[in-house]
Amino acid sequence: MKTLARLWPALDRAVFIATAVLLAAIAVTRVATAGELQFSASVDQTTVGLGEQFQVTLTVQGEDMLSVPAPALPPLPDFSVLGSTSSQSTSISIINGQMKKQATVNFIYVLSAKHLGKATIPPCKLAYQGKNYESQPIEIEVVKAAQGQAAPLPSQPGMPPSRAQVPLEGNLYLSVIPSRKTVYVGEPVTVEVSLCTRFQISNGGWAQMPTFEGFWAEKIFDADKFDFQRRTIDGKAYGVSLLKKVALVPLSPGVTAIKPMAMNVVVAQSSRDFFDVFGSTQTARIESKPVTINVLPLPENGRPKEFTGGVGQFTMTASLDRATTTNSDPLNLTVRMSGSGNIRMIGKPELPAMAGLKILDPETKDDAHASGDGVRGSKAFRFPIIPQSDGKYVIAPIEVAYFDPQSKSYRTLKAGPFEFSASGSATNAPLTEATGLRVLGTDINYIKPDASALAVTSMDPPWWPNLLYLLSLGMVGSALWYRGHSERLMSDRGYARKTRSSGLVKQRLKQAEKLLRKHDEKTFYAALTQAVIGYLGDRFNIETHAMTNEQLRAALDHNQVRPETAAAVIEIVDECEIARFSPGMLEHRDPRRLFEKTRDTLGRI
Amino acid sequence: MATLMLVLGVALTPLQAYNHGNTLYAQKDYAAAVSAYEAALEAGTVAAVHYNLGNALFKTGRIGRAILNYRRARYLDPRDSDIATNLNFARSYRVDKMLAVPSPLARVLDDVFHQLSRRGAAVLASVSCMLAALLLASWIVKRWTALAIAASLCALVAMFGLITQQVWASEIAERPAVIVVPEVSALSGPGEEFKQILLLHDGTELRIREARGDYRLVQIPGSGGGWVRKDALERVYR
Repeated sequence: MKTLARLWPALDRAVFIATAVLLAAIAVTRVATAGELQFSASVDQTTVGLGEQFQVTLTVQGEDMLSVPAPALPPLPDFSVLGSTSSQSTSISIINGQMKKQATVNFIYVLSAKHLGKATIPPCKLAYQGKNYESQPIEIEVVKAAQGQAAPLPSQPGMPPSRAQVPLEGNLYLSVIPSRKTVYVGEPVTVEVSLCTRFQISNGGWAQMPTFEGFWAEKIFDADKFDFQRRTIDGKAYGVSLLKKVALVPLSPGVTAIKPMAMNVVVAQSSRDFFDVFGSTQTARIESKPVTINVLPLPENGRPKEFTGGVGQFTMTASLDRATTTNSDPLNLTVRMSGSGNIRMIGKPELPAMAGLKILDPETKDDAHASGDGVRGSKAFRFPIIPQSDGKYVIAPIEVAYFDPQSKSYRTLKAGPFEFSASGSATNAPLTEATGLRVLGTDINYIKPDASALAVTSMDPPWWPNLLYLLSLGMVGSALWYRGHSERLMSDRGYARKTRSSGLVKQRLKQAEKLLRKHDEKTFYAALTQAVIGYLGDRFNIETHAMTNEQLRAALDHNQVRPETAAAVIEIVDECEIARFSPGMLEHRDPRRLFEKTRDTLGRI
Repeated sequence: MATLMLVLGVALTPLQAYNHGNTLYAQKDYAAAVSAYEAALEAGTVAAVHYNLGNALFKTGRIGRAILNYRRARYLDPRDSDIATNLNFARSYRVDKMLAVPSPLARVLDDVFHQLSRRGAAVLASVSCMLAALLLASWIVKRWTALAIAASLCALVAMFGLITQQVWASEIAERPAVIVVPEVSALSGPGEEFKQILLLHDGTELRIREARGDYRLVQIPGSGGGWVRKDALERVYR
């Protein structure tokens, strides 16, 4: 106790000195940093509507500012100042053991533009502690104000800007924009559905989902939250959020409409004062207008028969998975169409029918995705081919046609031909199990060998057999006749005699002539008589044994011998008789003449 | 030799063409062999050439034309086993399987009366007939029994020849033909506007019943018929 009392005057003195030093230090530091200010200007939007309110914020930042005067706004001939306010904040930070105190003062001015076009907010000046600071100039673009906008209410300085009650009509809508309004059947059209608003939207949801009847829809993009971008539409500033992007492929020709779709949104009718978080809200239902798409039918004339429904730009590749097959294993022919267009709607290509091949229905696989400018991808058709028998097969080239809406014409793509060979078909291997031999395969027998001459045989039958037939007929006919003849010979005596007559008489006459030469007159005359009588008898089938002259005459008559011939015969016979039996009676005997006469006469009978 | 002649641009004689075709076939150049054999046929119809041509056509996948040539070869030489085997083989390769199976009796008769070619049967029939006539004539005159027996035998042989000839002639009269295109449809009338009633493939054998313009009314034994374009088929016997 006593020690503390004795030290008191020393302590008192130390404290005083310390405080003085501290104050001095502070003063020094303050003097050293005083004058370092950051002064900047900013606006809350650089594109404003005519007569619309917007804020200009002048920010003064510095350390340990004692008091900052309001900066002087430069003369603003293009704007009218509607009000101002200020706010201040300080922050203390200790960095590296050093305490730093940062102060920020915001001077907020509410302005509105007076003229359309580009306007500039000139630099603002600030004078502080002997120093002059300037902010950077700001460019403002002034566009036409929205209709129905309430006139900006002038507000007094110091008061926060008033909340303008803006109606929804025209300031909040759903836009449905197609990339084209006229397309062909099968040609994709990209449609963007966006929410356009000039208000703050705090929430929203679909009241009526888009259905896209009459189209095949491929999703490109679906938004899961709002993302407003600043756009200028019809000269006004809007916030636009893309909600949905689809590629629509029209299915049939005609005028097809995209039916209206609707959304429920929660509009925040608040001011643009970022520090004012409490605003009034309003729920609105907005509906889009129907959009008509004119769908043209694909042209009929010039449409090739290989057209399979593809509309767009395509290429085609085709390949066989193997070049040989055994045991009737199937091969696969894959035809792939790639490109952009209505990929999913391309029909299967027609394969030409082939003898000995069984082509089954194809398996299809499509791989398409919708992108910004349409639908791209590919579609593959896989045809299983089963050969029925062995051999080498060639599949004719495959042709597929598609319609190109850009050139408005049909184009044909071609791939092939394809070759493959099949062996060891199960259907054509007759196994000879009976002999126990293992049959490895079957084939046709080999060709005939080389020849030294070609044995040409005509396809038509020869002509000469007909001759032989005639000959045969002739032979049989003559045999039959012969047979008849000989039978008659045997049965009919008269006929037989007659047949023999000429031969006999010739014989007898010959004999007579011999006798004549021998001058055997007696026998000659006898032979002559015999020849004549014998001939007549044979000829007319008369019994000539001891025939009298009268009988002779009668026979000649009966058989219609001519009178002069008959007379001659009688004469001959008489002469012979006289010569034989009364040789003295005949004076002139000319046997030779008689002989000739006989021969002559008999020849006439 | 033949190749040299071809290179020199000299036309081959039919015999050379045939032998050259054989060489090409052995080298597996079947398409060229077909042309060579067709050139050989300029000399006339030869069984060996038709057979070889059938083989070459079969190897190039022309089943219908192969069957045509095998049938022509068979007409000229019915007893050749190679021709018969290959004809059956080619028939088994066609797409339209024939459902009608002939009865065993029909098959036996068919075999018996196809032992001779038409030409051979004609020769045999006429010669036997003449022999028989001769013997008959002799018997008529001489009345020996042996002659009668011999004559009867000859007559039988002649009859056999005549029947064989008639069997071939009736086959030709049917106007048989073969489809020679991979696929064609038979229509209900002679024109493309008529309804399609049957689908026919390469190698199907049929008969032509009527002709009208460019179309032929065909009948498939046991299956029915229709009108087919005439360039889709070829007649076996021209």
